[in-house]
Amino acid sequence: MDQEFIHISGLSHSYEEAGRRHEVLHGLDFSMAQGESIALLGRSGSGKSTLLNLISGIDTPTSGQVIVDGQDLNAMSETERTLFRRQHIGFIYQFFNLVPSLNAQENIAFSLELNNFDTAEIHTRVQSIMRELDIFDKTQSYPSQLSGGEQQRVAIARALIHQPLLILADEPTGNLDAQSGQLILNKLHQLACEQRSTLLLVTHSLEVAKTADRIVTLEDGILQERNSDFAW
Amino acid sequence: MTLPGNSLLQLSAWRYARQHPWQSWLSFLGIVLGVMMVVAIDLTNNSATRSFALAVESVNGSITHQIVGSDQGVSDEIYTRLRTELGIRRSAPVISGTLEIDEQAFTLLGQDLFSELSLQRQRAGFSTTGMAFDPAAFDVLSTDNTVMMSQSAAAQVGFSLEDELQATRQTSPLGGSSRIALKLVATLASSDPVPTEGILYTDIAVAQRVMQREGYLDSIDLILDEQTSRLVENWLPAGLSLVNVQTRNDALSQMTSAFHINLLAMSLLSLLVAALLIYNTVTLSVLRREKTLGIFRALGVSRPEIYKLVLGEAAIYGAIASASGVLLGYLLGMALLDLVTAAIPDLNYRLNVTSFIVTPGSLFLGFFLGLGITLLSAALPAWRAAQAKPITLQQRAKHDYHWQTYLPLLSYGALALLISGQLLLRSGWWGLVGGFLALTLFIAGFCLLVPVLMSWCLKLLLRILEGRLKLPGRMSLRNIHNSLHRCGLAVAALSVAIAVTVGVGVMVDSFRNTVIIWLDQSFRGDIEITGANLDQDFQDRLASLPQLRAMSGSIITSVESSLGQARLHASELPAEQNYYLKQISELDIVRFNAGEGLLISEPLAWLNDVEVGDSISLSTGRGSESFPVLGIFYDYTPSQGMIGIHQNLYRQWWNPRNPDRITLFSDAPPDSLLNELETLLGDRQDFAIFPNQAIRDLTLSIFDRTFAITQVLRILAIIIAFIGIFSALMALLLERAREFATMRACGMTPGQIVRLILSQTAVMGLLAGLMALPLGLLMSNVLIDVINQRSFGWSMQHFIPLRVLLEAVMLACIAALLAGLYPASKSANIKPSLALREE
Repeated sequence: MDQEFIHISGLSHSYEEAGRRHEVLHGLDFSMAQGESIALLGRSGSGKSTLLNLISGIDTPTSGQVIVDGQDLNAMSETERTLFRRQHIGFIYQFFNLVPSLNAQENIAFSLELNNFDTAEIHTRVQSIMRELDIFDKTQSYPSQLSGGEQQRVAIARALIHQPLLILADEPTGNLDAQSGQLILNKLHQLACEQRSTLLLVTHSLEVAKTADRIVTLEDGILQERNSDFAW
Repeated sequence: MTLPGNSLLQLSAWRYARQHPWQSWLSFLGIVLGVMMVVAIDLTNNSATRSFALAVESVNGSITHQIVGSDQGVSDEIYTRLRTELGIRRSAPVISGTLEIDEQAFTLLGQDLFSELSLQRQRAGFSTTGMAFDPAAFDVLSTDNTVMMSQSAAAQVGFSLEDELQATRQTSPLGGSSRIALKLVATLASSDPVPTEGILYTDIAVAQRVMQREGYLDSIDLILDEQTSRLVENWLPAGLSLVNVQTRNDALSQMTSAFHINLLAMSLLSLLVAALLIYNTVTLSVLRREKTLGIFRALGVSRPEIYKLVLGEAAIYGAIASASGVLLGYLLGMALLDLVTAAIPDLNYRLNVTSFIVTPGSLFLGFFLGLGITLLSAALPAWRAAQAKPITLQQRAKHDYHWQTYLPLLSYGALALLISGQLLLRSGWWGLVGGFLALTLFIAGFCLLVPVLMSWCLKLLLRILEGRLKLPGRMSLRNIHNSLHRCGLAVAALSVAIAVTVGVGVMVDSFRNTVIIWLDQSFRGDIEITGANLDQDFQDRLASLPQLRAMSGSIITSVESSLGQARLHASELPAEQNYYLKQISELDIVRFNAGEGLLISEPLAWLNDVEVGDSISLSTGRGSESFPVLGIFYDYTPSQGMIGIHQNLYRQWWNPRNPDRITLFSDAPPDSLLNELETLLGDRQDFAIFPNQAIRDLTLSIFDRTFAITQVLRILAIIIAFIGIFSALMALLLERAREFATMRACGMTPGQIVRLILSQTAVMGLLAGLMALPLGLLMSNVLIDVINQRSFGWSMQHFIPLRVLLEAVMLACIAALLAGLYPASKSANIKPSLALREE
């Protein structure tokens, strides 16, 4: 296995609601190697999305440390975390979260433009990934004109186009039928593998989880490593 | 399946309002401000109008006729003869004039107390017939310079019995003055304090002395029936006229009410801007809840129930906001009172409005107008929400595209409204009201056209800039285009408010420039001297001034005419040097200069439908005489009208008298001529000297004071529009919170989000500003050529000041940018983790 890419230690996170404090994560310790794929299983409200937000620097933990690619996210300012996310992380959401005012190719090019790639490079990369994901005929289509599967492909293309070190996928097939979901998942794994990106996949489905190198569950704020024959 | 009743629906609406306090507050504010404007203006108008009417009534009382003289008034002897020869007992002599005490204007009303008792006139403010004189007052009033006031009026200005009052009396129209000491010797009980405000009552002899009118009266007030009035008319010696008081006051109130209609129309325009906002906010509130409403419909809530829900919410908002608007309008009205009063033409009575009169009608008008407009504005979105199918309501994107198919329909509607407005304007139907109605049609048509124009402009911009703009720039333009149904009306509201600024700004500038031209034409001399004693000796001394090239005297007095009371201006100068001529032939100029006829001012001609070639009769020193109207000149003095005659004609028909004004012409600078004048005239105080520049400054300061109220209304309209665009942006940005959160998650910095949103609001402001220009210019044309013409009879030259246009565009951009600041910062600081959580 490659060297340690994500290192999490003593990670706790809580929030206050209606005057009461809710602790979501309790002192998690966790690590991932570069190029590895891990499926994170957990019930609704178990804190899976919170963990993704902490690993990506969207949110900051109550206590503990998140080190990604040797950099301590807690030690960074908000702007530094944003720039880190822009360059090194790709996000895929269950509900796609495409920008409605941009067409498919512009949604995909979004990360590249933010990272100041030149126009020719953007064009080449967008053409290539759209062909790869079989959405080449949808370049000018807006999100509202795409099916769910097509929207998720665009979202995957947007997450992968700048070849991030880390891909965070939150229920990427949760809103798709089984067949589309399987196709999407295969593509995601294939591209992540080709780019040697680390993939953290949040899912409810054991079937989906089994496509990853490792499976971990998050229950009552605690992470547990599972075998592939574990029952859910 | 149905819900357990409407209570849950209402609970959901209530919770929605609590969860979106910004939206609730902004829709609330739109209504509050609109209603506030209407109530404030209506209350202020009513206060000013009522005070004006009461001022006239408290001076004149319930008289039917007045005997008035030509320039010097009526001789004392006429009054005695009227009572002895004709036996007219219901008559009383009157002298009135304006005095200033501690920079406050008062009307000095001189009367003969015994005659007042016999006249038994009903005066506003006093409950008994005649005035409730204390018998002791008869004695004290015979003492020198003693005056009385109503108890309430004295208390209001802080005067006490036995107070010595230092009064200033104006001796010339332009500011010559003298000082007099008065003593307050009695106070009178009054039933209503308002009509007696600012009136000092005194004996006729005291008033004659104070006003330097010994031996003369201003008028003899009479209560006559028709038969007796004819008798008096036939009996009157030459040089005197019997005037029907009602007819004269009608002309004055016509002008005053025209000004009030203008103000009310402007405030209604603000309400129209507010209506656009209310419609926008209710529409946004419905659109944001489409999904919820869709779920309700899917669960079996009927269309009427959805309709009632949306309309019920609007009714609650409308009622609370209208009530608040009424309250705030009351407070604003008090603040505006001075400004509106300043705009009332200065008439015979100096208006001293200090009491704010609350008329319940204005309060009800504001409340029901606010509530009604809210309900009307909410009716369409409510209907749309109720008509849509549950599946459609849950698919917002498709709904948005559907909206864009309405654009051609909007264009046709806009075209129909604009054409109707133009036809109405050309037809001249319904006079002033027709003018305002046409203006409303133009504005309504424009509002429909705004989304269409915005769509065209944005498409064009995108086509031109597509390859040159970076992604955030393209996103800005597309976001506006895609959200036209949300922000189109806000832009329309801002655009209308800015157009009002342009329209009124161009009108006021045109008017101001025309007044400047008029001043140049009417005051050609270098220095004007005014006063009561500009006798021959005085003129001879002036003639000795070394730097004087020429001088010319003119008489300014009031005259009764067949068109009512007017100012008569008699001058030695030829017509072309004395008036800003509007309509006159070369031949008639020669005839005028030879004293063969007269000129009348444009408002007098317009209000009385008099044309060149008609004749009007004037009350001369030798009885009533008819004169041909040879021409019409522009006149912008705030009075009921002016008649110009040459001295040649004046000498034929009136008794010779000293001039009221002497105009000096010099080739030297005015300052050096002034120095010479001061040396020559020493410390004489009974006249005033005005360099031409001072007259110009004084006139323009009166002009600016008159139009100060319009500035306030313009600013308020812009504030309402600002709130509108702020509200639309907030709603839009809150709706797009998820989108911004995604961008933040993808690595966009808060600064980039702020720039993205601000560039979008700047484009909206720029479009609103640019679109406001044609509407504003159209408005100014209507205001200049139709509204002012039909209101006051004033025509004016068109000036389009580039400054006003540039300011308007900048104002729109700044308003939009300012409105975008808070929403932008809120969106930039949104926590992506919270926004991305599925609802």
